[in-house]
Amino acid sequence: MKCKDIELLLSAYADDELAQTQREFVETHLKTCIDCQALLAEQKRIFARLAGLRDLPSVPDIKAKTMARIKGDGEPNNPWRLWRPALAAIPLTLALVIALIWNLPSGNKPITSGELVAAVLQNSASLTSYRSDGVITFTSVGTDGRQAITETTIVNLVDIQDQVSHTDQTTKRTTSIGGMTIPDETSARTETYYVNGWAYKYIHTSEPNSPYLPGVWYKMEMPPELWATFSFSEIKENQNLIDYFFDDPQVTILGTETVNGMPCYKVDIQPDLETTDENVSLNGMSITGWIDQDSFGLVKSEIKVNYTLTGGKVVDQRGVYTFSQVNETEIVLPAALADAIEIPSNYTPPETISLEEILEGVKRAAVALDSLKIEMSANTIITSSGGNASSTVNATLQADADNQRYYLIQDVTTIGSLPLTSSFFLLPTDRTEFYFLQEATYERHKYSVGNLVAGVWYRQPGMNEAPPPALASFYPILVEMLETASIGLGSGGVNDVECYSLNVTGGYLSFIPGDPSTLSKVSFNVLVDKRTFQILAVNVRFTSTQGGMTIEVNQFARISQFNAVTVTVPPEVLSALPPPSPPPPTTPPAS
Amino acid sequence: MEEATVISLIRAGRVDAFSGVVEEYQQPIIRYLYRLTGDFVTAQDLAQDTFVQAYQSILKTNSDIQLKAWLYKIATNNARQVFRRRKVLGFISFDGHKEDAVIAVDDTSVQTGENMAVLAALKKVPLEQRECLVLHFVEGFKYREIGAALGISEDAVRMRITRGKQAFLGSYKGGDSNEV
Repeated sequence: MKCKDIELLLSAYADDELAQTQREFVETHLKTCIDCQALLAEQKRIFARLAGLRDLPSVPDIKAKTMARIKGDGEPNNPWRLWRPALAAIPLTLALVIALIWNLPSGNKPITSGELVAAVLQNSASLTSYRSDGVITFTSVGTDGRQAITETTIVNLVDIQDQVSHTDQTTKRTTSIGGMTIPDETSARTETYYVNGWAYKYIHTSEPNSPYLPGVWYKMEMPPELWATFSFSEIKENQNLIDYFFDDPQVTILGTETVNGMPCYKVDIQPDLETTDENVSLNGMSITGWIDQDSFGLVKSEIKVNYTLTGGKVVDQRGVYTFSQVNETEIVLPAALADAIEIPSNYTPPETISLEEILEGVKRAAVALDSLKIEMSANTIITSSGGNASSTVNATLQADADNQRYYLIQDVTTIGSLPLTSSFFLLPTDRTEFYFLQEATYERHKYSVGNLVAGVWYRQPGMNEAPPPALASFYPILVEMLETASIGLGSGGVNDVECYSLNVTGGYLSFIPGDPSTLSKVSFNVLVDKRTFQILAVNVRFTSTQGGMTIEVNQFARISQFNAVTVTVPPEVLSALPPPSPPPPTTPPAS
Repeated sequence: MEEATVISLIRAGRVDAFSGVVEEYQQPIIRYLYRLTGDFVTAQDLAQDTFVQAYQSILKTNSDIQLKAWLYKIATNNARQVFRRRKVLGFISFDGHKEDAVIAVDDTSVQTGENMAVLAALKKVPLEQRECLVLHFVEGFKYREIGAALGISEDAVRMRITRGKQAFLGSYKGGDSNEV
């Protein structure tokens, strides 16, 4: 009996959950297996620590509140409380502002705040569409003094009549500690469409730690109650939301101001602050609106919120919005939405999935793939009787198949020495850049190589026909290979993304150079995103023995971007000259 | 008082009979929801919802109800809804402070260093497996009781616990062999 055979039983044995026969079966194995004894002891030791989670200090008594609710005397839990982060965000607040102060009574006469609120409730139905341009700044200061500023620029198109909206936002974040600003890479641009209860998302630039990859349309169905917060006509009918935020708001007409050349009423709204989330201590909130005196349309609004999060972090949020294209906004849905990859909102990976289902998913995800960005690293070690050497290659490839342009930058570090005949297996230490185009290939080296001078771009003959297959077809070839390969299934991850780990045990040889008969210790591992079925990474290891040499190779490639990869060729590259001809061999003087 | 008696009284219109149920189960249900969601305030709200829904369900049916399993089943569904909302909100996120809010409500101040390591590892276990681990190791449920509470077979519980343990150990000891 193998240890693997009792793996399931051993876990249940440790939990005292086996019938007597099975228990005796495991105990018989344990008597002779030191590994399983150690595994069992470790399991018992570690999982005893989970029991430590039983202790909770001072659980509050919820009996009174619960019984009051049951008897109908208590307040229901606020259904929006769990969504506070979204409520603090832009569209909803924006909608509420519009719902509250849209379409004031006509005529340039002084109006009271009571007339204003009544007019909102009466006339808000006339709004059918609009565009807003906003800049929202979050400034948060933690108890350690760390300050983070996030600035989001957002363009929002809303078609209330057709229940469609489109948001295009760019977020930049900077962090500073003690006056020192730390560069941050969390800048990101995202587009989102909301259509018929679905959210469609597209990331233009990479979002660190996001499970969603750039260049791909994803879609997720929204729970009806959340969708209601985005379908603005429902908001107008659903006074719960307005009550939640603005239970008896204090509305004050501050006076008049000119905005974008338009004379406006300036209106201040102080919402009721008692109804906010108990996780957040709200220090202050104000909304200011500017209303065109002629059309009574909303021209501009400013929302300020200051709150303290549990833990002491203070957040100051300020959003300024301008409005245009009122009742004239049209939203054209991109055709690519039809191919969006669905992310089920109640998704949990299936407990069992067949390889066929995974491969079907991989093929589906490869549809409409037009470009890739791949980060690669490779380590090669050569040992021989004539010497030893190793090289490390780190490379990034941007493959823009749509435009037939490819950019490769690779850093090679090689150490050690080998006989001349073996050296061709290793690249020399260098940083090399290549542009592979239809008409030509361009290259530049950090160090002079042969007749190529360091730092100068040279033009080589082009690809003429198809681009190099290894570059253009990397993904399709991989998919094709998976279809014909022998595969074992496991689990793994790339960053925080859960993956299926496909251990390819046959049919991979087209990916490994050299004579197959010389190969040993081959490991070919492909990681597939469990949600989207996109191939995220490939890891290849093998050893080749030939001509008295042993070559050990470990290669790793991670696909960091799908689609939206554009290769732009700088002008100085295009004006490169062919490499100079090598000097003719000198004739040795006659002796 | 016997559970069956309590349920009969509730069905007979004796609302106050339910207060004993809340009294008895509020602590374990809040703890369970807290260990699943990592959010103490949310756990309390969901516990309230759980008891209210359980009470309403008792009135709506004449079937026998195993109260403990029934409560945990409702609590589990409520926790899953929270994760669904979080997932949707993560998908449609609009601001850079969404994570702040979620992290801020994690009541880590009451945790010891060891517990924090355990909690951090537990958080990385897929939800369905985490439910089983918490019910077994924290709430002391037998596999059979977990199956009854979650509406799955005992074999499925065994599978989820075995996989959950592997996932937990992978995180607790510092990484999955396939982690990149």
